[in-house]
Amino acid sequence: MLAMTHPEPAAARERLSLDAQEFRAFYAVALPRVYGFHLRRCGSVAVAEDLTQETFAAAVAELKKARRIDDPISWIFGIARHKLLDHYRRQARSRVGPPADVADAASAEDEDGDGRAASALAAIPRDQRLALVLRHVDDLSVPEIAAVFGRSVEAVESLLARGRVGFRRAYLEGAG
Amino acid sequence: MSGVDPLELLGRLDGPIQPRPAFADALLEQCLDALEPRHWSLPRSRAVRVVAVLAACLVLAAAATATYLALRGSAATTPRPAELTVIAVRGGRITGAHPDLAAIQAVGGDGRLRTVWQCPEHTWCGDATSMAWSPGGRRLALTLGEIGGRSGYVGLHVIDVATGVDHHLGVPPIPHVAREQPTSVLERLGRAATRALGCILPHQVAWAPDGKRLAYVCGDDLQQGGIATTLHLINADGTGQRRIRTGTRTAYWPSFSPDGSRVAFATEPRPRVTYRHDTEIPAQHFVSSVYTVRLDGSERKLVAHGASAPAWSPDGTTIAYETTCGIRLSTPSGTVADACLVPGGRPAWSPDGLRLAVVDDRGVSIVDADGTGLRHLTGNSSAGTLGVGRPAWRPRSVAPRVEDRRPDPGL
Repeated sequence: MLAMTHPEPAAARERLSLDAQEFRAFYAVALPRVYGFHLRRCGSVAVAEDLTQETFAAAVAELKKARRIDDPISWIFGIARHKLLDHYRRQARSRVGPPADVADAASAEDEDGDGRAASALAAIPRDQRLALVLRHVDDLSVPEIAAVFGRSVEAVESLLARGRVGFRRAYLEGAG
Repeated sequence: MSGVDPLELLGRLDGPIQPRPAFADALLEQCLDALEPRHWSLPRSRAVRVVAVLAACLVLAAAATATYLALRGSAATTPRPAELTVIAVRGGRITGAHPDLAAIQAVGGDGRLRTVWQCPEHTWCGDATSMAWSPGGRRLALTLGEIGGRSGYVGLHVIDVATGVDHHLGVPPIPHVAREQPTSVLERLGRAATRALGCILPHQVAWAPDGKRLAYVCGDDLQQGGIATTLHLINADGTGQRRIRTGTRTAYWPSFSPDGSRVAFATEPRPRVTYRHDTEIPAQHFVSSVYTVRLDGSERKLVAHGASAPAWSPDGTTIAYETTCGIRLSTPSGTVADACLVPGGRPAWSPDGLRLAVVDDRGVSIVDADGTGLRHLTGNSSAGTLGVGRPAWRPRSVAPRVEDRRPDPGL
């Protein structure tokens, strides 16, 4: 499952209904988290904005049907996860696409340990980055990642091995 | 950080990031618009509801009686109502056809899907990207695209659904079209298509009211990286291709006026888009406008700003288009006639001008032209590498003798 490690303010953990003021309060808390979630995984501002928009559009449609949502932050991250996996599958299927905007995600971080990790992550090839994020951030198993990419388990293990080596090297170079 | 495996830091990369304020504001506005109760909601008073339901029953009974009497008097000559057709989406929830083959499906009133046309068996046709029915409903114009594939079927087709004759415009017949094509054949087909159509991958096709010509857009916008998507005309037999000089940087979603003298178009594929071509170049944000223009490129007139996917009504008085708040209606001169009708998507008028079909990420819906009677017909439609165009109404004044006819694989 995709990880959500930061604690949320109390208001965001409460119920969400169709009330506009309530939705505004929820939006103020949820938007930066959903956007950050997508940006770190896609490395592109344009793609992150598209996925964020898709996430909230689906969330509003679901909210109108359900009328009330308990634990809305966990709920919207479930939607975000589905949108992200759809995006990964489309990318894996097309095998083409715009180059990853490696500067975007890295520039969003400070130059502390997390920032260096983000920079190192952004510096490795796209497929390796996606595989590492799915495995180490989102905690998917190797067979699950293979299903996302449409590749064999062996190919994903090879991708992960190369990604780990490249990530560690980029991280240490950043420290130096 | 020495002594710590950097991989352990990956699990901490989930803090919030503030997006651009303009993006955050626009998205919030879009969400709040979608949350607002629609003006077609039922009245709250129970007594008024009962009266409204009784009145509706009386109207329905009267309509049914009138329809029965009319059918009884002229059963042999009354045309069947138009049917709504959509592109079947591979991997999406609009299904019903072979999952790997491009298909066009008719949507029943209960949301059931019936395949009208399907890619020939064992042929990889690519992805259907747009479609349009001729005014009589007998011929289907269909565009297929593919990125990085090996199909000889991509391009613009005009298919007679009664006979199954499939005319691949601008492309010479090739043997064994069902097979993956070698690079040399693909290059030859690509050169022929570029000469005849202006590009290899035409899409967003629209049929002229006289049934003799087609409009489509041409260009490499399929990965949102293109800068030269342009508007073209071609005769239905594949001759006489020419570009309509719109005087704009790009052009999308052509829609003819009923007299065929003008065409409405948008300057971007969606009301607001963001393009990013390279990490070294800042992202570019565009707001789409809808214009009408004569077919010779003269007399361009602005209809709306912040709008895309225009659809000209059959009586010529109204243009429906997509905005960030939903579908809006305007006169061709640009007077906005109504508030947002439905949450959003790309509209298509029914041939009688009484209803609009709308497709977006939520699927296909139908709404009356006055904003009432919204009905959601199918599930999600956003899947697929190339997405889907917009729904198309199939006029059925001429009933085809054969359904589900497939093109000749030997073409």
